[in-house]
This record gives sequence, C-alpha cells and structure tokens, in this order.
Amino acid sequence: MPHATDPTSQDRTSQERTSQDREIVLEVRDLKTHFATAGGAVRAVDGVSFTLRAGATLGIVGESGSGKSITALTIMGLIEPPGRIVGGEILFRGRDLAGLPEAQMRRLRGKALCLVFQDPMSALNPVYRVGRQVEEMILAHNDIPRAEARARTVDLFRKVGIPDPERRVDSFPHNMSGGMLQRVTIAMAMANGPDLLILDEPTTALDVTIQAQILDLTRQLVDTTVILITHDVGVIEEMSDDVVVMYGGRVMEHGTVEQVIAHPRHPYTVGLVSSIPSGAMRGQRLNTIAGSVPSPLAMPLGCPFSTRCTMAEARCAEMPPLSAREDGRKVACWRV
Amino acid sequence: MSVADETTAPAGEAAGAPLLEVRNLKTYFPVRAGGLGQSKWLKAVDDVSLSVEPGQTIGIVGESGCGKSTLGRSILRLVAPQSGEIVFDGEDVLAAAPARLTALRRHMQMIFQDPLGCLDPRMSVEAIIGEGLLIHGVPRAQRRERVRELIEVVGLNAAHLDRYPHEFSGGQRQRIGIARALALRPKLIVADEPVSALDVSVQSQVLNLLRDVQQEFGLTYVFIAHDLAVVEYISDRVAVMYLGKIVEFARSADLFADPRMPYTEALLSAIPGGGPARKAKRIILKGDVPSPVDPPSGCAFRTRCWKAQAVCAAERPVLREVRPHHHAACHFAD
Repeated sequence: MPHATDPTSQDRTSQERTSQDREIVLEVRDLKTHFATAGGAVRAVDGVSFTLRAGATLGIVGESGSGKSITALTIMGLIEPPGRIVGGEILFRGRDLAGLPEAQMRRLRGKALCLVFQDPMSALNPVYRVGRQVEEMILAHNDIPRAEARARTVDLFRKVGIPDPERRVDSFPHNMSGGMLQRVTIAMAMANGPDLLILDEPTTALDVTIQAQILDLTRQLVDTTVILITHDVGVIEEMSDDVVVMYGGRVMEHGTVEQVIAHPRHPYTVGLVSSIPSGAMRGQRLNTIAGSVPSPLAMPLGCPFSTRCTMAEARCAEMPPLSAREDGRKVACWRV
Repeated sequence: MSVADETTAPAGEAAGAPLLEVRNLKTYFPVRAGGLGQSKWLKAVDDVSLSVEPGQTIGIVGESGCGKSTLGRSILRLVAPQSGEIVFDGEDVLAAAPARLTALRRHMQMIFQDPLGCLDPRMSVEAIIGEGLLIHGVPRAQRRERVRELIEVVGLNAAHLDRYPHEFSGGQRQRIGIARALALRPKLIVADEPVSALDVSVQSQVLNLLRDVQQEFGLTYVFIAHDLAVVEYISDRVAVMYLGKIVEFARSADLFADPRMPYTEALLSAIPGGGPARKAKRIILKGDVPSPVDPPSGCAFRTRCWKAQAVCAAERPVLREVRPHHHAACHFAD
C-alpha cells in the first residue's frame, strides 16, 4: 500500500458541511486500473481513494489524461482488456465491486449504478425511437408490461423537462437537439432509481444556455448520490459538495468545494484555479502551469505533477501520501 | 452605469481609421427544404456590420449555429458572402480579383480550433510554417531563417522543426498553428475557437502567447469563441451573435458589467461558478435556439425571451446605441 488512508476519522470533518451522518454509498480505496500496451503499462488510475455519502454530489475535476473518466468506467465495471483493475477496492454499499463477476455487475448497471456520457449520441441507438430505448432499460430490471414501462417513460420525460413527452417518446435521436438528447440519457439513467449516478462531462458538448438547463435539472435530483466528472472548475463550483482533483491518475487534493476551489493548497490545484481567465485579468498575463501533461507512458513514478511543479524537490520522486490537514481536507504533497 | 472615460478609452473610439470594416454583410447558404425541390436560405450571417481598429481585439461570442465562424470565414473570403462590404486596410475584399485576393490574404491569417485538423500530417513543422512563405515566393534561405525565428517566438525550438504534427501535444500544435499564421507578418488574425480544445493549464499558456505576439507585432484580432470568460479576458470589444445577427456590441467591460440585451444577460448568467451571488441571479432560458432556416419573425430571440411583448414579433429591433458606445438590438434595451 503506497498510501494508506484512514477513511473513518478524517472523512468526518470534510463531509461535515453536507451529510456527515448519512450512509456511505461508495468508498473507493487505493484503486488502480492499468492498461497493458506495446509501450508498457499505462497507469491510468493509480491509487485513487475517496468516499461518497448518500445524497451528496462529488465533483472529480482534472485535465485530459488525469484518469477521471477511467475511474468512472472502473466503478461501472466497464474496463475491458488490455485494461485491468490491478489493485484496490470499490465498496458500494459495503460490497466490493472490483472483483464482482460480470453477471452480477450487469444486474447493478442501469439499476443501482448509472453512467451518463458526454456525447448522448454514443449512448443511444440511432435506429430506435428514444422512448423505446428508455423502456428497454426499465424492462431489463422490472417484470412489468410494456405499456406500463411506456407510461413510466412518458413520466420520466416530463420530469427531465422534455416538452410534449407523449409525442417525443416516438422521436428518433437524430430528430432531437443535443440538449434534449442529454435529457433522454438522464431520463434513462434515472429510470430505475439509481443509488449512484455518475455524470461524465454531461454538459461539455452543450452550449452555455443549454448547459445551464441541464445543470439545473441535475440539481433537482437532490436525493440522488452523484459523481460529476468534468474539466470545468466552474461547473464543479456550481454543482458539488465535495471535490477530488486528479492529475496523472492520482488524487492531488480532496475536500469541500469551499476548501479546494476557493482556497486550494496543492500546487497543481493552485495552478489550475489561477490559470482560469477572467475579465478582472484583462491586460495582464495569466498564471500558467509550465509544460504539458506527460505522456501516459512517461508518467513519473513519484508525484506525477513533479515535472511541472515549481515547488518540486528530490523527495517528490516518491509519491506523497494523500493525508489529512487541519481543516479536514486531504492533500498529496510533501511541501504543503 | 459606466461612463466612458475618453482619455483611457481602450477601444473603438481611437482617432485612427479602422483596419477592418464589415458593412451589412450577408452570407447565406442554400438548403433544400421539403420534397418539392424548393430551396430556402440559411442566413448564417445576416446583415452584420462591425469595425476593428488596428491593434485591437474584437471578440465574437454566441452559441453553436449563431454564425460566428461563418462571419470569420467571410472576412477572409473563405466562403462567398451574398452581399455587403468587407473593407480591409481601405480595400474592398469582396471586390478583389483572384490575384489581388491572394496578395491581400498575406495580411489576413486564420488560426483554427483543431490544430491537428488543419496541419498536414505528412508535412514537417518546418514545411508547415514555411508554406505561406513558399507560396508568396520568399527565397529558401530567407524562409529557413524566418521559420527558425518563428518557432522561437511561439515558445518551441529549432529541434522541433523536423518533426511531424502527431508528435506534439495539443498546446504545442496550437503554437505551430500560430507560428504559421505569423509567418507572413499579417496585420489581422481571425482566430476561430483557438483555445477551446485545450486543457485549462495549457489554454492560459496559449492565451498569453496570443497576447505577447499581438503586442510584439501590433496585430489586430477577430477572436471567435463560445467561452465567455476567455472572450472577456482577451477582447477590447465584444459582439454577441444570435441567429446570424449581432444583438449586442460594446466594450468588453461595459458588456459584461451591464448587458442591455436579454440574450446577453442570460448568456452571462449561465456561466457556471462564481459563487452563490451569481447562482441566485441565474436565468435559465427555455427551449433551444430556433432553426436558422426558419427564424422567428421580428426579434429572433423573442421565443425564449422573458421580456417579449407583441412588438417583438411585429418589429425587428435594430442595433442602436443605448449607452455611449454600447449597442444593443432590443426594444427594451433602454
């Protein structure tokens, strides 16, 4: 174990603001998902730990290649060779999903665990009517007549704000706009009342005003436990209770949004937040993080950020543990 | 209300002649509608006028399909506008004969969103950056020297010149795209979503580079983007487009502090983040952008506007000055 985390005592403080006494829905411990490639092993997710309580929204923020989407796919059991979970646990309501056989995962997916992708077209079959696809999702997990599944679908469409739902269930995906299609995939994800909903860049492909609609819709799903994955710090700030900042397959910082985004401590989070342009910065140079993300095959063995970090020193060749600080947040940095 | 401080006026009111003037530009595309073979027009750019002074940056914002990219391409005559005028450095671009157009384009360059899509994968970086110089007949030795100079300007080095686009990261490719655009010492650069494909930490590097080369070479930018924070940061003046028309046009600071057109207001309020104060003021627009083939009568935004009245359907609001140097197209902008 490179960095043993103690989830019991430290998490309480970081979760206090939202839901400290609620049940833990998901606990990810030292998760590692690697991919075997011709050039060597890609350590896409390399020791990720976090906890999520019922009803909370956890944001995972990171740039391309940070491992945030692979983390989502791993939780969903959607990693296929050459990818493999090489270590760690995914405790979902106390049960470890990491070693679960596909037949059992299949019963969870679409019911207890749901994933919404960035591009709704990739989640929908272009040759079937959208309502029918949602019905299939309901019928796969419920022994009810199709007519009832259809009635539920119309109801779901209404809930996610699709106008004229009785008629829209008969539309084909190509007849709907990107924003409407994302509503369909959210309806599909909500169809069986999931315990955990993972949204992977749900608004990245959408225009700002449509993004605001979808975020507003997501906010209405208050009872649902949500993992929101995005590269957009503004979206995280808007939507999440807690946030995990990922870089190079590792968690750099984990705490409440107020702690991590408003008062970042890890050098990467500091760099990320301060490099966002704004009107107040007009006429001045923006802060930057030097260089670019290393190739996945050339990721440093120690702290993955050490190659771009202004504070890096010799001991950064060893990965620092993600350890709790006085305010309850966790930071993986020797220097902080 | 911000009162214009004429002594430090950052944009638009300078005494010098504009470098670029677009007057009543219309770029329409034919689309087939229905089975009867009638064709309709998609009015991608519909009666747009704007001007840019030398050394300034004008930001063009709007959602997908608003015509901002077509406007950028029309300025360089990469698409053929229906009517209107584009006056660049005192010369009508739309009236220029082919040879003259080639000569004019030397001074007008473009930077694209997807640097991989616009860099020939089989050309070395040296050939890519030098291609414009080659086309314009710059001798080989001078070309080599200029390319070596440019690669340093954009923060790469001579060792990168023998490599091919796939060997670079997204940010580095955009640097190569910028070096290529700078090669012929242009006066105007139309940048179409130049940083949208980049990660935040790399985006800020490229924005800094664009600022640096603007100052160093006195460049004028038409900066097209959907990211409002980026546009607010880089632009002196900002034009907001909706369904082919400019609906608001003002100095960046004025537009972001006091939007007069409801669409702009909604667009700005939709930027995520910014704390609870902004969250409370959020305007969630209903519905999608209407089809540009069949836009609503009168004000195109009225179908989604919470201020819409009968007059909005009957009369198209003109872009008028509602505050000093602040133009908006709305019946209720005062």
